[in-house]
Amino acid sequence: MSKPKETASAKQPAFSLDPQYILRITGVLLAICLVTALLLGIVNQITAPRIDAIQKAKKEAAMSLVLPADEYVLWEGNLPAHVTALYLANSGGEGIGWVAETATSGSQGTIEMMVGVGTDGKVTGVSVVKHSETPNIGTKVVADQSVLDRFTGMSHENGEITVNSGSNRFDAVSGATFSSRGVVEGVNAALAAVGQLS
Amino acid sequence: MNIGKQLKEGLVTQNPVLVQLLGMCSTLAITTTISNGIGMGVSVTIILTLSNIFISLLRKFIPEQVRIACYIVVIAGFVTMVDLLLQAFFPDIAESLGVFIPLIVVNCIILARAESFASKSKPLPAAIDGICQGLGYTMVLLVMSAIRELLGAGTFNGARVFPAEYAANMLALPVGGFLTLGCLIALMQYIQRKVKGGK
Repeated sequence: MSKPKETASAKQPAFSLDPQYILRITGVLLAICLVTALLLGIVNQITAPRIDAIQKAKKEAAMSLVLPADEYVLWEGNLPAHVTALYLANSGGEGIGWVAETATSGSQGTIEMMVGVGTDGKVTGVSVVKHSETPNIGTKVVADQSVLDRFTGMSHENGEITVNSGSNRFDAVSGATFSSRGVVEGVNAALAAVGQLS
Repeated sequence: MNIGKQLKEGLVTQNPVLVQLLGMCSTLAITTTISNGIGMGVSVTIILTLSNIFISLLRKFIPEQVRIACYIVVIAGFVTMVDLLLQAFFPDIAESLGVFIPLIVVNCIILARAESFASKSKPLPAAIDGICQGLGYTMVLLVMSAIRELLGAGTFNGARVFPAEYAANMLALPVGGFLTLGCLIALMQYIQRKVKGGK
C-alpha cells in the first residue's frame, strides 16, 4: 500500500487507483450493505405478519361497513379499470351483494375505497380505506362519512354518476372537486364491475 | 464533552430547522396536526441518534471516498426498520405520516449531522448530538403544528377549540406552512440578536 502511494501521491493526491485500495473500499461498502440487509431481513421477519394482519383487519372492517355479511369470497375474473378486487358477499349461505375494492386518483394521490353494491345494483355503502388528500380540503370528501353516505342507493339505472351535472348527479363538495371526482369515479367503476356480471 | 453546550446548540443557536435550515420538506409537509408533528419528531430523533452512534463507531472503518454511500446505507437501514416497526406496532401514526417516514432517508439533518459531527466524534458525544438536534427539530415541529392546527382547523391535538367555520383553512395548506416557518425563523433571529445585543 505504501509503495505505490509514494509515486502516485505526488501527481494525484486526491484519488488513488491502487487496486488494493479499490478492493478495500468496495469490501467495506459491501460489508456495510450486507450487515444492513441482514438486520432488515430480521426486522421484516418479525413485523411482516403483524403488518399483514393489521391491513387485513382494516380491509375487513371497511367491507363490513359498506355491506355487512358473514363472509367475503374473492371473485376471480376480468375486472374493469380502477377495480382492484371484487368480493362476493355471502350471508346465511346466500349472496347478498358485492364489495368492490377500487383505486382512483384524487387531487393528491390514489384514493382506495371499498364500495358495496346490493343484488339490486344499488350502492349499499362507500368507505375510504386509504387516501392522501389535502387535510381540511380533500378530507371534506374522503374523511367525511356523511358525504360518502350520499352514494347509498345510487345505481347505473340512469347511466353513470356524473359530478355536478346530468340526471344521475353527485354534488361535489365545494373546493374539493377533484377529490369528489375521484370518489365518484371509484363508485362508477364498482357499479360497472358488478353490472358486467349480470 | 459538554452536554449543556450541545443542548443549547440543538435547541437554539444551531437549531436544525430555524438556524441551519435543514429538513424543510418534512417540516412544511407534516406539521398540519400535533400528533403528526410529535410522531415525525420522535422518529427523526430516534433515527438521528442511532445513525449518529453507528456512523461514529464506523468512522475509522469507512474510507473517505465512499463515506456518503456508507452513511446513506446506514441511514436507510434504520429508516426502513423504524418504518416497519411503526407499521406493525403503531399503525395509526404510520398511516398519518405516510410517505414522510421513507423520506427521512433523504432528510438533510441526518446526513448533515453524520458528515459534520458524527464522523469526527466519539460515539457518546455523537449520541448526545443526535438527541439534542432531534429535540430541536421536534420542538420546531411541535410549535409549528400547534399553530397550524389551532388556527387552521380550530382544534388542539384533535380537541375542538372553536368552530371550524372560523378557522383559517389556508394555514393547513403548504402556503400556511411557509408563512408559519418564515415567522418562526424571523422570531428566532430577533431573539438571538436581542440576547447578543444585551451582552
